[in-house]
Amino acid sequence: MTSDAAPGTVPLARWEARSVSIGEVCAALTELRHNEETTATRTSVLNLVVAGDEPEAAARAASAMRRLGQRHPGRTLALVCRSGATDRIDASVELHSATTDGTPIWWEEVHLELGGRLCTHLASVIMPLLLAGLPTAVWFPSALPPPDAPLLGLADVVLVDARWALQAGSGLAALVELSRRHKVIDLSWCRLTPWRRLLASLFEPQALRPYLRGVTSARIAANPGPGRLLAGWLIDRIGVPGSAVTLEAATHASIHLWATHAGHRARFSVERPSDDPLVLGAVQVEGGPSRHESVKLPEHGLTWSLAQALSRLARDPRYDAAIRAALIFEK
Amino acid sequence: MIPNPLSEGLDTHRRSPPVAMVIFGASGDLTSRKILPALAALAARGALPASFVVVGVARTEIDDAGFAKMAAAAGTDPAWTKLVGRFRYVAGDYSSPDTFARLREVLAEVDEGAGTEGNRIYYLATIPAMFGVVAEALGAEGLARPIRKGAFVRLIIEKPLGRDLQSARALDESLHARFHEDQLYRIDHYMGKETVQNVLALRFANAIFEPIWNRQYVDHVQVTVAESLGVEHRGGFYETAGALRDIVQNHVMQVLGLTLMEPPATVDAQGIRDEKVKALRSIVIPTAQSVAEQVVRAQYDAGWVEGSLVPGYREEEGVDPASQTETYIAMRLSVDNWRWAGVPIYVRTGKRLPKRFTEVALQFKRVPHLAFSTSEATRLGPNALIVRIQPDEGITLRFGAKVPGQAFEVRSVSMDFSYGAAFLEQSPEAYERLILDALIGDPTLFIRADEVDQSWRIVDPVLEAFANGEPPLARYEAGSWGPAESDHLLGVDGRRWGDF
Repeated sequence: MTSDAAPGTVPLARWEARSVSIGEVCAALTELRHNEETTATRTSVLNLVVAGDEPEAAARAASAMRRLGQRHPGRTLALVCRSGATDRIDASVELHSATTDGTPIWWEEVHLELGGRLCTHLASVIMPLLLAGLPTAVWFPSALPPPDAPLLGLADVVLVDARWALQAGSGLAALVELSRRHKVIDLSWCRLTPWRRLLASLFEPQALRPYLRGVTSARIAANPGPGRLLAGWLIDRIGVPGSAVTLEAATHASIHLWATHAGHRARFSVERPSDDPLVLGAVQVEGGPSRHESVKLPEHGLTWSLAQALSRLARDPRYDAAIRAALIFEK
Repeated sequence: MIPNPLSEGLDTHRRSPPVAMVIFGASGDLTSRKILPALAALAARGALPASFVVVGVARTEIDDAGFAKMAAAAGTDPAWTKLVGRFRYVAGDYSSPDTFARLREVLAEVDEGAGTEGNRIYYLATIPAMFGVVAEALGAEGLARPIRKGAFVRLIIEKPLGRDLQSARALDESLHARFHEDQLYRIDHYMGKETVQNVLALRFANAIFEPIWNRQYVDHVQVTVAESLGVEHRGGFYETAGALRDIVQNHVMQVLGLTLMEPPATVDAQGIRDEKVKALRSIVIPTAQSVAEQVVRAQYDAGWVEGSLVPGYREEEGVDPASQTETYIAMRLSVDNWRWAGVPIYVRTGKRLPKRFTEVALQFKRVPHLAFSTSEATRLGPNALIVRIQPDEGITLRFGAKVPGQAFEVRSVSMDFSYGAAFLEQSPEAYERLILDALIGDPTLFIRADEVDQSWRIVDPVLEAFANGEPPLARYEAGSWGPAESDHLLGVDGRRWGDF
């Protein structure tokens, strides 16, 4: 995926204050909207709550959200908790506007820095700010939430990102448990779609289908989280034994499968060889034909995956099965 | 057939299987303007497999490389650029068996070299007179049937599907002589538009609209297909068509079918098309007398459109200076069924109108008793639901609201749903959607033979009346909303165009 550097959108209107009440934040939202004629017609599709206290994750999320607003107009609430401090809310509210294909749209961003006991009563802070009747997605951009995280109760869908949430050899059990209790969408899983789709397409010709049943080994190179998602997917989908899967660390994901059928060996590969946004797929049958396919990756991978997730807001049973299957890689 | 478990959950059902698409009329306008760009967009979206090949057929003498070069200009995505290298071309006359013998050889080579597995789609982007000729020649060469079990052969054709009921039936007969109905994919590009499909979602996925979508609540329906363009360089073609054949028989009838139909048992090809046919069958066939009273035909004179002075129709290139071809038509249709009995359906379409837009509007009956005084509700119109099909796709609901202030004044306000603002995912272009549907084998949005037949049954008596000079051809100034006769058509019923 290509980089997610923060786009330079300028807010239409802005309000900020320190040590305020949620009532004041709600009033500021209404006031800002009333003062802008262009925002008279509202078309909102969701609430997005971003829960992160790591500055790097917050910056990453903010950049993705800024782009996302042009695709999923709604209200974004970004929370940063400073536990240990006194009970306090520092807030800023921004109205953003953009024209996409000649259609003017707008969205709102609310940034809240919370201190003290408020961090353990997040639901009471957030609920008044949610747009009624719209789905609420709660995004944990870095670590997985603890099972009793107060925001989970507000979420119609929980967004996580295995790229950042899973460390080598750990974290999967917690992810499986989270997925059992909530509708989880993993942005890494969304971003891996081009790799999975390309690998699936390599087996589309009927003549190559029998190799699906003869996979003898697989090598997956990727970041630890996405790598295990791919491994679990292969184990679940085509029954590759876990012992036949080799996991390696790499910046860009790649999958290599070796398979036999009727005495012929074949190699199937899907890889992104460089920083260029292109994934290449290839099949080489020993003594037989070879096929090559490629797919261009979308720009701004994180925003794209977020948009994909929010377009569907649905659980993917293949993902649930993949993370369960990948538990064998847990130390 | 061995399944591919890796493809589950990946929307690969929206990906074409290996196939050779044969485009007849490959050097023509429709191919370069619509078909190749749609294919290029599909390739860029990853919807075409590596084993997808286009074989162009036309009389123009170019070779494979020349056709590949022409195709390459349709897109820049690497996936498309890579595909076009394999494209083939057969130069030849459609009336020559040799052309089809060579095509058969090329298709065999393509199956062998590119793995298209014997799957074929023929796209007839030719003049309509060639539809039957090409279908017959394909059949004679053994190309109309699958060469192996599990393979498919489909044929895509586009309007005009005949010039009247008789010629439409003759065309169907010639197609059915070589192809089964389920192999035929008749395109009406209106059906590929998201907002046309959204009529189904609006009506059958919501509990609030369908209960009032009937004669109890709807006063009348208006369908408008307005174009600001004239005939451009198609004067010669338009002279043989006119607004009735060009727009009403196909696009308007399809939109009406979706608007008037009963809820289908299932939202699939058979469910939807069965109900559309039923709805079209309920439209009262006009008589010579009703055409004279309920149809207005007109032709534009010179005038100003979108800031430019444009010539009159009879001054356009390729048009007879004494032409009687209608560039505007307005009709009042009636529907004989329980849902719509007594609800007039007003249809209008025209060229050189002030702006381009297509919409379906349901105007609702007024409340049985208005409790507000006339001075309090001077600006309160009837409720209306307007489905905007193009260009600003969306839905508008008009209702009365109190004007803020001390007095109790009620006036009409509009609540707008704009497709572009709510769903910012890029909608596929109509051709892109329909071509992929044909590649996948989903006929839901294509027109079945009985739909075409029903549409012509409604239009045929009007054509007959036109041939007899009835009603007289009215005139309108380019840039106006049509002739005064059109306003009168609604005026006698106490209604007005666009009055919602």
